[in-house]
Amino acid sequence: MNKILLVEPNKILSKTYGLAFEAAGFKVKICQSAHSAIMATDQQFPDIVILELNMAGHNGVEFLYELRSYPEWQQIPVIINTMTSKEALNISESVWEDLKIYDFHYKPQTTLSDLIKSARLALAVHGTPT
Amino acid sequence: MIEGNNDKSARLFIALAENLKLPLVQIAHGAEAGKIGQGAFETIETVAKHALQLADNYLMGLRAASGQLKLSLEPVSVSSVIYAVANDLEQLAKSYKCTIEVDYGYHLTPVMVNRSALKAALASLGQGFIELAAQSEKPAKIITLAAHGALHGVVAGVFADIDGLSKEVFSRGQALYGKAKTPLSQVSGENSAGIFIADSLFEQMDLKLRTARHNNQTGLAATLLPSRQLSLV
Repeated sequence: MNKILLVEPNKILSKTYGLAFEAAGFKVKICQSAHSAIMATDQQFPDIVILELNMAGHNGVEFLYELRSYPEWQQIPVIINTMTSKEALNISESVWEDLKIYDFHYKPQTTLSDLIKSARLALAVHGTPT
Repeated sequence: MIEGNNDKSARLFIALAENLKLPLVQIAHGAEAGKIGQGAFETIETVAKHALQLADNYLMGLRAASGQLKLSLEPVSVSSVIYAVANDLEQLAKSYKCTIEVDYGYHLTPVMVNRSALKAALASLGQGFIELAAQSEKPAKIITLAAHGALHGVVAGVFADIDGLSKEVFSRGQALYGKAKTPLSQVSGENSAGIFIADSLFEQMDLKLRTARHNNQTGLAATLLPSRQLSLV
């Protein structure tokens, strides 16, 4: 069973995503902050990370730089799933490439099945698909 | 440069529109989860109800600011408004795994406010605080709707254990809402429009929302002026 680290500060959404991913056959660990997500990565070594960028304190981009600073975590596929559109984020493609972002989802235009499909594809390319 | 009313109103509208994306995503994803038997329909209903209420509260502030609605002052018992708002927010708090508590003295003097606007302001503030506090990973998240007597009237507001909510953070948020995605980024990864809608409603009643403490909690509150008429009775 593939392990997902779901970094989602909103409790209602994290519960919905958690249930949907579990129903799709994933083992889900939910974190609400960048700090706890780093701790969880260290303890559980997830197969994939689904990340909201808008978080209190350290945001998702800071989390990504921290994650990618460790050699053993550089290949973990990361999918961004955020309330901010790519245009509004105004982050260059080269930064996305440096941070090895597998896919980007803007929550208002993403369904749960899109997200699950994206996670499966990422694992098929970078890891072990369920 | 001094900001005009139109700029402020546009910023508040942007903040509201951004904020409403969250409940709409919660509803859309919750409904999709329902198709695979994982839906929490009670949560969807609650989220929808409070999103509508936030839009209504925003409209009340906007109508008052444009002169379409007159917020007449009347003697109001703060405790009854707090109690009613707490009841309204209870289900939303539960969805976010928070608890709503009320705390007010029994001998608070009546205040001169517009009852509907005070209720809308405290409800918006409470909603903002639930979203704020729910992001904390601390186990016990208690949101307190409280009022206490002060030198010049009654201080009424919403309080919680939120690290980092200070006067500076709040004034920076007031300057940034509608421009930044997370105007209170030190304490929240969300848009927190409820807080700024409350701020505008208090402003329409010539009151000022500011950071305050109640017991050991930090929060935002306004000092409501006492009704001299009723205090003589």
